[in-house]
Amino acid sequence: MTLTVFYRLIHMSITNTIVRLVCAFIKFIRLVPLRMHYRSIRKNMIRRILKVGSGVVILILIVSTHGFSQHYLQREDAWVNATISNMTLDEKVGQLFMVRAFSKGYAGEEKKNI
Amino acid sequence: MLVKKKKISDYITKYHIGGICFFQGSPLEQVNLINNYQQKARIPLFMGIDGEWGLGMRFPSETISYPKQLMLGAIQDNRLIYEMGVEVAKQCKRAGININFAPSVDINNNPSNPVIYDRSFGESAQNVTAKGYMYMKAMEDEGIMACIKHFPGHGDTDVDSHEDLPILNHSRERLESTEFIPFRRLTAYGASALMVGHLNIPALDDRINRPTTLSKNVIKNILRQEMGYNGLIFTDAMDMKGITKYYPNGVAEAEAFLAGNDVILLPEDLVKAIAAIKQYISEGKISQMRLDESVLRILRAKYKLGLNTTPIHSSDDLSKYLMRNQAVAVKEKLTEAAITLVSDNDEIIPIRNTNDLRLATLSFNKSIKTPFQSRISDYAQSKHYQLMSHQLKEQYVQLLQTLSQFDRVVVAIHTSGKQSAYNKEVSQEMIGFLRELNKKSNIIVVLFGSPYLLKRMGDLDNILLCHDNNRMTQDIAAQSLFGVNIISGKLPISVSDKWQLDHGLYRNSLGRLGYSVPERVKMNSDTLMLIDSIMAEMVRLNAAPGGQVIIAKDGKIVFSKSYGKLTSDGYYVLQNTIYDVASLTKVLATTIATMKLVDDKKINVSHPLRYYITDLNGTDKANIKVEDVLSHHAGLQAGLLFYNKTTLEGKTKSYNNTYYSNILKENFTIPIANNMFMRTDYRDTMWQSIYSSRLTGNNNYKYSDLGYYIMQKVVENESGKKLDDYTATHFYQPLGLRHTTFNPLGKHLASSIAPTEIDNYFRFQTLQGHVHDAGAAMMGGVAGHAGLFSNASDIAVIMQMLLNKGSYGGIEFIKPETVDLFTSRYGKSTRRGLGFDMKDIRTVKSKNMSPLASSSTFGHTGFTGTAAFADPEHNMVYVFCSNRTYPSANNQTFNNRNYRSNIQSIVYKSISGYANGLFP
Repeated sequence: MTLTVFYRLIHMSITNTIVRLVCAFIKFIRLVPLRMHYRSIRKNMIRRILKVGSGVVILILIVSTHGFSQHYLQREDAWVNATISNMTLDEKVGQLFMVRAFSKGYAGEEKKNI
Repeated sequence: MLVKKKKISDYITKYHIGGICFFQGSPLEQVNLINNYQQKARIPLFMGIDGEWGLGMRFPSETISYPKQLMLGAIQDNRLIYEMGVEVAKQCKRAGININFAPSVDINNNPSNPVIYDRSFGESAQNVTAKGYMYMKAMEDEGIMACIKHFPGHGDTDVDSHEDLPILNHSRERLESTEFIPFRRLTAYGASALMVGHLNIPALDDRINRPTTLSKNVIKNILRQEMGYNGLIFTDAMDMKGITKYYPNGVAEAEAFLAGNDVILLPEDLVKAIAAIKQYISEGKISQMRLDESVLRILRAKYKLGLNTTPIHSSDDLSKYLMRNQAVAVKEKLTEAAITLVSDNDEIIPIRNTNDLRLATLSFNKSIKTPFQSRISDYAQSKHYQLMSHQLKEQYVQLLQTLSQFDRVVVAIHTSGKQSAYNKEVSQEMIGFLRELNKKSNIIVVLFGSPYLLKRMGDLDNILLCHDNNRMTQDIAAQSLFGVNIISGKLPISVSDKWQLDHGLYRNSLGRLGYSVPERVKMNSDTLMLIDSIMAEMVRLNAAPGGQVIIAKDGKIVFSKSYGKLTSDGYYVLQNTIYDVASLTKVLATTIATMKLVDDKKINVSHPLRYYITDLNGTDKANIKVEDVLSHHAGLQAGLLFYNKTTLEGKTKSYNNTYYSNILKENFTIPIANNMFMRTDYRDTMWQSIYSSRLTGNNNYKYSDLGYYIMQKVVENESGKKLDDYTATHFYQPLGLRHTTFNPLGKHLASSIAPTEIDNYFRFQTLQGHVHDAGAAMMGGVAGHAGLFSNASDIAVIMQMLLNKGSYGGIEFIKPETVDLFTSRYGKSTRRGLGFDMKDIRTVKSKNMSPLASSSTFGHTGFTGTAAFADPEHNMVYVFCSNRTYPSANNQTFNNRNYRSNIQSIVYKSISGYANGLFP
């Protein structure tokens, strides 16, 4: 128990040091005013990362689903257009009809109930 | 036939038709034909069928017919309609079909409509829309095109469009407020196909004899423009008289296309129709663009159905698939949910008390015992009568007198479901008879026909409407009558002022066991089939001559079979064969009696025995707690061989005359076998030896019969009744058990009882009907540890009552907290509850039951080869009966081969999810 707490403290202090170093570097290359406290820099960084991150995720989603449906529609269009452009007038007119079939001997009385 | 097939091939290759609509036939031939036709077509074909109630509409004997839509209209839970749609679609797919011309979303507001009638969900536009949507959505989700029909609404006609053109004289406003509603909504919800009916509606098109199918105003203006519908539009069949009469020689088809339809269904003469359309094109009446518009719509629909490539349908296992239990289970659910309690003035539905109820059934229009009557027999003792309507006159007086002797008469009226036949099937005379009977006795009228029958039943007191007349409906109706299911159906139409739309009384389930297929409770019947081979092996190896197995899950018996014979050369085991259940007596009699007395505050399980048996005062057993006795932690010995002390020395086959007599006489009154009576006072000696028996000196677990001899005394002292009387009056009779009793001889024929041994050590005869356990026999057949006789179905009822936490058939037998107390592991025990045996939680290798049973499973096993377990986690009951002790109790094959627990394991393996490791 105490040992885990100890490890966590060490871990935190290491992370903290790294963050501080990064902030110092950002100040050094003049990305932010020099007097800015490292905590506000850190907050800023996180906010930016979140903003950009979620934006990227949404963008990926939109692009992919769009791409998918686009792709499906394209395939449908391609098949439909290719098929119809190869159809004769007779084939087109024939396409409009559905005829009756039985898979066993014909029985007249079953005509009902459509 | 050959000519016919050839003709269709011609239509495909010469005339390039777009699709085929199948009518009656056989599924196998249909799939072969479809594969053949699809191969021939350059552009794969639509394959349609008119399957409003599933493929059964066309192949009634080879697949499932779901209920007609009017019956579905009574169902309150619309998710069931979706389930049906999924199943119908799956069957269509297997049969090579890609369009189902269903659902009909016509509103049934004209009872004399000859063509819609029971094909509509009813008269409520809301109900029709909601159910139509569920059916349509389910099929579309499964990849089958649904086709809503018959626009603009075929419900209010009194002419059959197959015969003539029906005229609908409604205003546009009226159509908007009723008939249009389902079509407006469902097209907005994305219906991909719609069928236009042949109706003449002057308000929409006032040309004489102009059907809606041929009306530009109806299709182009209203449907396409006003409603914004962009899916496929089919005509109704073009060979119906309603249209051919007025537009012969292909004109109808050309006019239909001109009006805006995309697909022309069943032209009267294909060749003429094609010529007529081409004529219209050349005359410029139909433009190239108009033609392309429909062709494009058709091609897009085909692409969505996967018809951009030629489909090949496998016919492997087709017949089996079309009859599969999953589909049956869906039909059962629909049937149950549709049953409608119309009136219950005497408050007798469902039937609660079956004990002492003098019950008769009368079947109208059926000359032999019906499935309805057979199922009633499973729940209550009843007398069955049949009556054909022509016999009524001659039998009127006699029948009326006979039936009025009963407390309750269930009158089943069987019909063809056809309204035209109702006058004959439900005659005025018959109604008169029912009215008179209604005055003399409590009658329940069960209608196997449509709600329209109710019009004739106005003044009868108790009416259950079952909508259909098939076997399944009859079976389920009987179950619902006895409270197996919730009754929740509501009238889909208004019948009279009294019985309006949505009328229906709600009744809760009474928790009685019902009957169903394994798939209904998510079990696999193929896996359960393995039980047959294990039982066959058991019989073949002479491990036992025969037996019974019952499995009930979620309140439904899904497996109930009898195997083998009573003796290897005797009668076959039947469902009502009675078995000596041996130690199951401990739970099925003694323990439940104790539980009841705990409820009545007569027994407290933590009190010592001396509170209940004064004879124990001063003995070392005085302070043993009841709970220690019940859980076998009292330090009592396993048992005492009482009979040993009463037999003669040496190898003799005769009785000791000091203790036994071959005739009933003074002081020799205890029958222990045929022609063998024990000295009456010897029982006192037995009790003495029990009371003075040596204790083991610790409270470790030790299975003991002696404890249950003692518990019998506790029960009898506290209840003031003999154990057999007490259990019969408080449990077996009110539970409706007709095969459960101590000392069965005299109540049941010896030949219906499985013999338990050819006894060559004590009683020197075949034991059949006298209890096998010698000690129990010497106690007079009634003892706390053995003595009960029963069968698998009766035992299942007791176990289900416990699984229901003490209630069954609307009666509370034991309080839920008492059931919990007794069926949980007792503090000192890793295995035993109070009375009940459970799985030993210390070891993975459980011997008394399947290792797959959950740890909350409770029950018991018996020496004669019996077992009964209830598993609350899986809501399941498993019962096994056999007479493995016949001909000799020394036969160990049965126990060595673990038949009881092996079969129980199969039961668990059959539960869906087992294979995926979802449990335990």
